[in-house]
Amino acid sequence: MRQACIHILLFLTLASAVTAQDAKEQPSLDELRQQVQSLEQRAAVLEEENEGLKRMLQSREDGEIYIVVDTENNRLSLRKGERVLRNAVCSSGSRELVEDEYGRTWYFETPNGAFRVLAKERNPVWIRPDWSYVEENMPVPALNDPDRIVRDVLGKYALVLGNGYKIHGTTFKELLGTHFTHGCISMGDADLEAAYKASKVGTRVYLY
Amino acid sequence: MERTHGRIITAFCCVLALFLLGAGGDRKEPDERALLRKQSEKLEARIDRLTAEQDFLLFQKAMYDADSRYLVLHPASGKGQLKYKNRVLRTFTFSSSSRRPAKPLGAGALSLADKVDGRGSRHALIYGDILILQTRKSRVPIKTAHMTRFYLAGKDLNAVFYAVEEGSPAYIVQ
Repeated sequence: MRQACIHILLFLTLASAVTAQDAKEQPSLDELRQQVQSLEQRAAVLEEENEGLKRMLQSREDGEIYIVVDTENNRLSLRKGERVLRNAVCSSGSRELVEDEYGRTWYFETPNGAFRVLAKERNPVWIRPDWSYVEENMPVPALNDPDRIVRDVLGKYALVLGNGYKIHGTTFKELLGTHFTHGCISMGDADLEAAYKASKVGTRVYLY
Repeated sequence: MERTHGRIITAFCCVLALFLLGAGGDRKEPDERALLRKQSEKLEARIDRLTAEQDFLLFQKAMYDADSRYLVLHPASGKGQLKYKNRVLRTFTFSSSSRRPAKPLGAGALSLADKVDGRGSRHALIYGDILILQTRKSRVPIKTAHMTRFYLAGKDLNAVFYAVEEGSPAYIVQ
């Protein structure tokens, strides 16, 4: 009997020692409360910071329409924020090289990058550059030669992007969707009119 | 006499047992402890979510100030965007490889490490050593077998391929 009691006593002492050890390893209730409190504070700070960042990013949204041109697939889109307002077939540079007898070369590629509409033109006039004569094996006239002024080939409207690049109409409608231009972006009449009316001087144009 | 002695010892053992078992602490404590643990687990999960959100917001802020086109990829929905600053230039869809990759794809930014020029819808874009954007026809190096693959339509990949440069980032949103 006595022996049994000693065994029980030993077992209980051991069990209590293990329990006490567990209790020592676990954080106290106060520590846990403190931990929860500091986590709550951290979450609140993050939430506030994120709201600030969202507001800042939101303030950079100008809500303006912008033009995007995919020169690889010859597609133009009018966009506003995440919305696509209109998709259109267009044409971009032919990626061909022309060289004259003096070794001057022209590579007909539409540039990539961010542009702005610098000017809007109605009934634009094409001033034939040297390469257009070289391309057709014609003698290049003087810069002020009236022969260089060509009407009714760029459509009713043009959006000027700078460095000689424009978004304009074309008489080669059957070639829309292919790379055939000399670097400008050509569009069909209805799409061009929509792009012209939707944009203003300063509208951003992204070519990629 | 001996029997009485035994009874006393037994009674003492019982009292001691009750005392030792009770020494574990207040009975209310385990309940509160469990509650606090649950609360802190929830808060930790919320902090993880907010940290991930902040990482993406900071990325967007950085890209607004940068002059580089970049991709935002959402594997769960299979949707992607080509962006420049805060403008969307293109939206596209993609499907993931069914094979489980050796390295799981987590949220965050990756850098375009290599452009494999395959021509005719066979290009591939390799991000870090973890992700490839390609078409079903793309020819990719054998050393990339362990990577996660996102398959794009040919015209989407062609457009994206020429729009991004080595070093351009892609952000994986989970």
